Amino acid sequence: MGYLRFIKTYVLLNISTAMEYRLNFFLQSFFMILNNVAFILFWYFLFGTLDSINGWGLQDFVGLFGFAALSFGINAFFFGNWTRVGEIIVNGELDFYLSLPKDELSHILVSKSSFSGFGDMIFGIVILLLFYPITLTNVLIFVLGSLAGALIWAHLLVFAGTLSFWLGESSGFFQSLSHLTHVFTSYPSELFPAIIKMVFFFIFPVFFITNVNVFLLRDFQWIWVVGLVIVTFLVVALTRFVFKRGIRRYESGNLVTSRI
Amino acid sequence: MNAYLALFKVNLLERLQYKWDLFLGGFGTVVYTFALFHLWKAIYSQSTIGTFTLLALSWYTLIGQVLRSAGGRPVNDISEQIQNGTIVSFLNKPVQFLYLQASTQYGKRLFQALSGFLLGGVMLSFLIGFIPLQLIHLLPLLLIFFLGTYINFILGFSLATFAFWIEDARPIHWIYDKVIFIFGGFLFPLDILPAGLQAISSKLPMAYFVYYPAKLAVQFSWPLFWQIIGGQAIYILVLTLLAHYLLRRGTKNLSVNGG
Repeated sequence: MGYLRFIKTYVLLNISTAMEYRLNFFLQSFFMILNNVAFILFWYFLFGTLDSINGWGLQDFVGLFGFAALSFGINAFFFGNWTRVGEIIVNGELDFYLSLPKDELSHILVSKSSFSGFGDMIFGIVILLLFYPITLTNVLIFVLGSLAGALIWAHLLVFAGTLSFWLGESSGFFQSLSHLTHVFTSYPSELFPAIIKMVFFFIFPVFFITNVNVFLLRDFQWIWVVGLVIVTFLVVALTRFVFKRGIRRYESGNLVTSRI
Repeated sequence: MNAYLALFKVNLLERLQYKWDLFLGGFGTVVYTFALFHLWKAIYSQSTIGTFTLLALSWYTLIGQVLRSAGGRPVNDISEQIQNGTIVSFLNKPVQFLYLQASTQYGKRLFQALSGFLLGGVMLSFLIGFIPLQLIHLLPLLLIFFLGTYINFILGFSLATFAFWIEDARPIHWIYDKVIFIFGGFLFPLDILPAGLQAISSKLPMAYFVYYPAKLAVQFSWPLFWQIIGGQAIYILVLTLLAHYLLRRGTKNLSVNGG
């Protein structure tokens, strides 16, 4: 309970920071929404002459993108440091978090917020509500599916960043994995050969971020719900375990910073 | 001219220091091309896009990505230089800021673009085969590629000068990026667009940056070459004048404190 209150305090602080620069906040959110509209146009034009691609229609493709935007937005806005864990380790900025009594990884994740993430969240919600019927089941899938997707996505990238404990400077490697997650969250798994599906469902489970949610909207099956819960739990637990192990290898940079 | 070449070389050599990063920089192009290749493959099992074969469209996608990564994004550097005032140290030197930026951006991006082309090319050769390319077409293609990426650079530079008025021009550049995606032929050839939009977008400068050069690479013809080079020359002339004008107006608006 104490952790939830701690996270809530940080979120409120981040929101008040956003409001301090509200013009910038609204501009970034607005431009991010416009940015995302371009991708919807892509699918719209593509489906101008096609009914479906490998059994997936416009609604399914837009659903994938809606979930991707929503999960990305949740991470960017609430867990803004999700892409900076490797950088924090390499720069020796971890000292600050280690010296405080709260869980280090949670603290790192919530201590930054990206304003444009708010635009992503709004866009994702609007797109899902526009393209799918609003039923209780669908709304539950939107909410729980995007939260699970956000947790998996954030922890996969945190896992990649955590490898900096062993590899040192590895921003190129991280950027590549980050790019990979962006691409594979936006396309249906049905497009790819079996080996790719196997890798991205079971080894680096990117397809669980968005694809499974669209599977559930197309044809609700409990097996996918169970799979989503198990994968979310495993990815979060494994990442946290690896991060804790990595801390043992951490060498302080004696970096002195002020946090204002 | 020597100063610009030297700057180009310095940036090129600097990037070469990070070989592993350079290699991974091309990985993004590979992943994206891989995903789109499978999308095109699924579509081609039931339909076609314009006059492109699956082989041509796959290579079109790769070349479009490489072109986009070659020209650089001056908006990040220029916005930062205006915000922290360091732009002054460039403006008071006897060099043109526009060409100084061009040398820097090309130097920074050239190897990354080549890395993307090589990695993506190897992947596509395994997946679908090599694009038939005649040696005699290589030089005209390289010229078209260079002029195309230069149009992108000048457009990006002009948008970056908006930072003189609004401090951070990056959000404007996001929109420009997406215009390239849809109306420049980056995500797909313009042939997919409805007739009206296709007619308009094929006249825009962005089409001379991605769509036409990538199309020429996979469907080379001399009439198309002359059409592209004519369009590129006109746009480069007009956009260079515009960029100089915006820079002149912007620097009048600049106020830097401290030393």
